[in-house]
Amino acid sequence: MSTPAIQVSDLHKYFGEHEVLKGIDFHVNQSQVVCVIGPSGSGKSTLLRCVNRLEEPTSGKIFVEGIDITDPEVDLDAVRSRIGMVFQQFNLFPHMNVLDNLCVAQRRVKKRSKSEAVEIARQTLEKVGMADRENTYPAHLSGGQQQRVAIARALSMNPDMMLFDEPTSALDPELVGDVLAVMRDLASEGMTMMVVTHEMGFAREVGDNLVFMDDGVILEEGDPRQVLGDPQHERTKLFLSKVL
Amino acid sequence: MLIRLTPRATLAAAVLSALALTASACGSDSGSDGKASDNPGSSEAPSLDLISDGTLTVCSDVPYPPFEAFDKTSPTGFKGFDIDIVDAIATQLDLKVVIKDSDFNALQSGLALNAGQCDLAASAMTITPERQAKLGFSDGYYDSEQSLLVPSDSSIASIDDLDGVKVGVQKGTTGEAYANEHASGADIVVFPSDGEMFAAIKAGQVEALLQDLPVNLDHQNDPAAAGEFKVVETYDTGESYGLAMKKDNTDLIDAVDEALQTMRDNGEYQKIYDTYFATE
Amino acid sequence: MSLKRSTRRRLRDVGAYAALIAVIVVVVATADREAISKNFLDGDTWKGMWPDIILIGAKNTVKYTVIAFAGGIALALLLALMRLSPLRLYRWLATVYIEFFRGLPALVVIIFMALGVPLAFGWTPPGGTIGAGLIALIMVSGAYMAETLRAGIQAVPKGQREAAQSLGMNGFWTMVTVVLPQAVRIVIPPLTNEFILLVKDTSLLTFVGMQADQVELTSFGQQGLINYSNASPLLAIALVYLVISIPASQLVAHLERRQQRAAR
Repeated sequence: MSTPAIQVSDLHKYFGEHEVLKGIDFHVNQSQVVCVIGPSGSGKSTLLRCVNRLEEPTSGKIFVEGIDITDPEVDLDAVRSRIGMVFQQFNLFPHMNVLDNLCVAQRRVKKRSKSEAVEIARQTLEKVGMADRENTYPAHLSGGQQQRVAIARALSMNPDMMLFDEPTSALDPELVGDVLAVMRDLASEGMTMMVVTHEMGFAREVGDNLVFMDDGVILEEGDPRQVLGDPQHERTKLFLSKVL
Repeated sequence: MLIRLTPRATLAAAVLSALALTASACGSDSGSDGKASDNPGSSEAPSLDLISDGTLTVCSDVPYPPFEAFDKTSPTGFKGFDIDIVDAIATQLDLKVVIKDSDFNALQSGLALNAGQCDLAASAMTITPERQAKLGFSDGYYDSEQSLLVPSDSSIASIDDLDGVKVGVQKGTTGEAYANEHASGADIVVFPSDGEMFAAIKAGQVEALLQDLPVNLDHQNDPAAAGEFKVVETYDTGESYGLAMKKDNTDLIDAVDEALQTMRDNGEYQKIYDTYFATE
Repeated sequence: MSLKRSTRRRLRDVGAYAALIAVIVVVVATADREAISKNFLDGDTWKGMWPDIILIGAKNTVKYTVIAFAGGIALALLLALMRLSPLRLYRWLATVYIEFFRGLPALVVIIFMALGVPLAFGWTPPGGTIGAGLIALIMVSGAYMAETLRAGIQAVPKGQREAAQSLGMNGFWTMVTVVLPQAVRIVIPPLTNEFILLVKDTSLLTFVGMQADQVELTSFGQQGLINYSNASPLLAIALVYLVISIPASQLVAHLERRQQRAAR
């Protein structure tokens, strides 16, 4: 059996006195798409952000492709450059045009030449359907376009896996589809993905595994059709009855 | 030549003048235009044209020991040769004395007097033709001598050694003019007052000070810097200090001259002089 | 009596205008035009100051301002980064420095650097008294601008830093390529205000001694007072100061408007 892409064991996270993650065990296999759902405040975003250590775990271990990223000696920047991340608020760099947004980290982190970086940037923009906007500044793009550029920015680093933190929550409903379509393409190409989302349709259709979190623990996980169609827990049933 | 004023320029200038001179430039009844308010019949009266009746208001740029310095124990709050002279003059004229600390540039340019800040400037001011053009001077009351002060271990012995040397002078003084004229090869550094100058030579920022002899002697004999500085040369400029008044206030000038003469005649001047400049 | 609200407002506006006009009339009427023109608009004086007022006075004022501003920004950036450092000692040092130099009048620091430091430490700052005075202005303006820069850096949204980090960018490149360029846009208006304050603060350098070719505007004006014995030099240097500072503040206003547009 191959090494899991992400392996989390007994993860605890406190914000001050408040325990947000209460002992999480969980893994994502290579080329698997795992969707994490749950009510707000359940700790699902915190869990995701611990995987590239935007949040410091209080205790527990996280392995990314077999490397313990909670080890203080680990080269965090190198680990992060292999994990693409997409934020709810896009977080494009507003002072750079689309092309520079995609090139800056390639140049500074991957040490790619300018022409190489531009070539890869154009390929990924093509992939997300934004090839014609490379000179545009983020402020002049719609939310959906910004999010597709943000996905392209992460992909241009050739990551081994992608983390999505509620990528469609800040979008107008009619713009959600384009972003989900890009994510669906990625999944079909075999990208390893961990997706925190409220899009149950996406989870059912694309997800290989579904995790339901509530109050800092994983209450239920398994095949998405199974969990969504026949939830075992009362909390899961209650949550699904509200969102479906 | 006059420049015609648009109303707007007048307003701007008026606002500026109010800012620049604390006293308003508008009060022309004290006669900046020369036509002093001579009431018929008052010419015989001994009353002088003063900014405040019965009081001689004197401006001086303090401190400049031994000519003027602050002194909390004195009734005027000041002491020094100039202060004592002015005090004696006022007593003769049966006037009270009020001393105001002012900026030397405002004094020697005539701005403070013309703006009605004081009646008389007593600030170790040398009588020069340029100043006489805009100020009315009393007779000389002190023969001014310039001098060169250097650190005791300096190789500078005379004004001929100053090429490329930083020499401190005070802005607008005879010393500055003398240095510009006779030490053209020197790097002349202009300071606002003797306080900064003496600090600067102590700090090594300048290598010599060219200014009035009594002030430099004061530094040479400063017990706090004993033996550190020496006066190497003195220069007789043939000039004297005078008390400055508004040019058109001839009554006051005459009265001051008369009082000075009386003091010289009755020995009071010598007494004051010896207090400050006696060479034991 | 019940006036309509709009009528009452109109009456109030008329009253305000009338008061303003009355003030102007009083000022114009009481101004002594002859004294003003004699003291402030003396033609020979204005001619005599030209062109040195620009070639020496204004040139040195601008030169001193630019040196003090450039040095101040560099120092401010260092202090701001120290204030944001994870190391407590650095934060503490920067805080002490900033509080110390913001609490002192610039003039005191200038005199101390030029005249006190050589006495106290036997070390003379380079560039004579003006060099020492400029170092003092850098030290003081650096303290002021450090807090502005810190606020600007902190005003960049946290997500920007996180996005850069998630791409694997280290602290240095995150700061240089992502945080600082955005912080600079935020702080340009307050920094331009600091620039204008510095234009005026360079006049304090006159207190530590100047050579003829080092004279800045205020000192130039004071010499004019001595040489020409009328107040025209004051008006002249005031106008030159305005010629320098008003375009700068107009630039700020322009940048602020542009920023508001860019922020949608």
